[in-house]
Amino acid sequence: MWKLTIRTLYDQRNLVLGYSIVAVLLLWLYIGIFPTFQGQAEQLNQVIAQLPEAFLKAFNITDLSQSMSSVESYLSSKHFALMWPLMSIMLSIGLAGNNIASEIESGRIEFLLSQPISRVKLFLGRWISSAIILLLFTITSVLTAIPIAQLYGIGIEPVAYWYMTVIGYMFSLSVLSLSMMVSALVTERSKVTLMTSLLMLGTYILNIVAELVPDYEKLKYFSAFHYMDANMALINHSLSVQSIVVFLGVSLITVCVGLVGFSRRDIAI
Amino acid sequence: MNTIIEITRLKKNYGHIPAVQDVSLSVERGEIFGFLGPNGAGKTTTIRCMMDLVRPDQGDIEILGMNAHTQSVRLKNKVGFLPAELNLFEHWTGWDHIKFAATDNTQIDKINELINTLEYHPELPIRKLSTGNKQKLGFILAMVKNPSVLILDEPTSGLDPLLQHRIYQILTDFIASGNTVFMSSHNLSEVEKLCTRIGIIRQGTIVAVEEISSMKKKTLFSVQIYFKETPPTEQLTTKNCEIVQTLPNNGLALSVKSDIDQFLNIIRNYAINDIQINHATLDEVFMKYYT
Repeated sequence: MWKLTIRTLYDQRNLVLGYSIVAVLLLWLYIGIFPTFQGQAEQLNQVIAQLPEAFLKAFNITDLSQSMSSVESYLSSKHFALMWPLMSIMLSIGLAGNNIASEIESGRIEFLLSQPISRVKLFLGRWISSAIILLLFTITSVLTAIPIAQLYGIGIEPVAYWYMTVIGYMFSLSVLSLSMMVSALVTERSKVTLMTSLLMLGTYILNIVAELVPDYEKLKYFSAFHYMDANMALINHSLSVQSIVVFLGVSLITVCVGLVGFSRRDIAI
Repeated sequence: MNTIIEITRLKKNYGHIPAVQDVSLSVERGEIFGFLGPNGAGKTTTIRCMMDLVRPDQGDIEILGMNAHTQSVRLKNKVGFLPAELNLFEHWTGWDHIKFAATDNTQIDKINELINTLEYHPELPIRKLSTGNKQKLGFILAMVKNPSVLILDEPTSGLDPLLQHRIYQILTDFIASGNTVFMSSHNLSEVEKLCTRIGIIRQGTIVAVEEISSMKKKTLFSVQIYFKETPPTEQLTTKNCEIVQTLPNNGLALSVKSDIDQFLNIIRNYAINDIQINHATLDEVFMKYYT
């Protein structure tokens, strides 16, 4: 299994490098313009005040005087609320699609399964390699905020980024596991992308509906974006136990379903 | 243990479509067993069941005394497999694949010898290989674990005759060391050259398992012959020879069963302009003997 894991890590090196570079550049851009935005927060608030409340909620646009009070609250609302999760989702789905469905679609699965390796180990070997890749991506794309902020002389709270790394990684791991489950059950990579993207979009919409309509507030508990609470990590410097349990629970259940499904299915191209 | 492969009452449906129905056969140590049948007959499904890629609805498969499903990991240490359509990692080199497939059983000297025999260049990435070179690598990968059993799904399709001949030689040497080969094919002449026994599958059902010697008796030739004068149709119409069609310019299309010598003895008495003798296709043999 480890031979497969190491080889997969080696093969995916360019993908993780590409995603990490883009994420770091984006982070750099946000932090680089933070001092300018902070200086103009009052003027921007006046513009924002003209926008409909529903629009502000839907796109997570908050009072700038609050979100500009520190670089952590700024990054929480501008980068880690949507952009970072989006990149993490794209990477997770891409990795999961490559791991199983793409191998079946291309026929390479026959080569892999003609080796003395069980389907369980093949699945877990690929899952572990992707989990390591996501860890590298999360560490790079979150913790580099610390040296970048220092570069601009912006005061930061390093512990906040460690909390963000943990909750961000838990979120990514659950998306990866969900996508791996789909990947183990279908035969085409495009189906993994479509099905998982639609599911994530659905949970994002649920979160917006829960924010906008008080009667449907409880729908937020069905949304991954509710548990991916960047504010709590970056501003309150804490982690929600509920979020960790939900993300780990989803990961465990989807990995188990994926393993059972992959072990029982026919590998017919 | 002399029975190396034992398939018992194998059944597999894809949805409502039956792929394999009640297939039973056994292969003995030291045999090259040919698994024959037209396209869509169920050869690849049977082989995929043997490799635990497809799970049978019913029946058992034992290879080297191990269950092909429950003991598949242990089994794959001892079985080399070449699929009908070989798909590999385009950006990996041949060496990458060989190293990935290598196990504790791998004898690198033997692999190097095989690479030299097949004139293969393992340093090239797969995307730069021709179909023939990919097939060479597939064959090397099947041999890399130093297996006791080879399962080959149409191993020589797409290969030139020279390379086919080399593969035949390697397979002959392989069984001489007490190993066993199970190969599917729809190339009758290849099977005749190599195999000791054959199983014929049609529409998912085994229609015959025969020694190759008895199969040879069922050999069918397709003959086109042009006489200088009027064809001797009466003399040619025998138990083993059938006139299929009359052709222009004193020509005849004939179907000759079994003994071609008898037919040649008849026509040597006549002046001939041109003659073409071909092995009948497997489909024609099926039509003649198994329908």
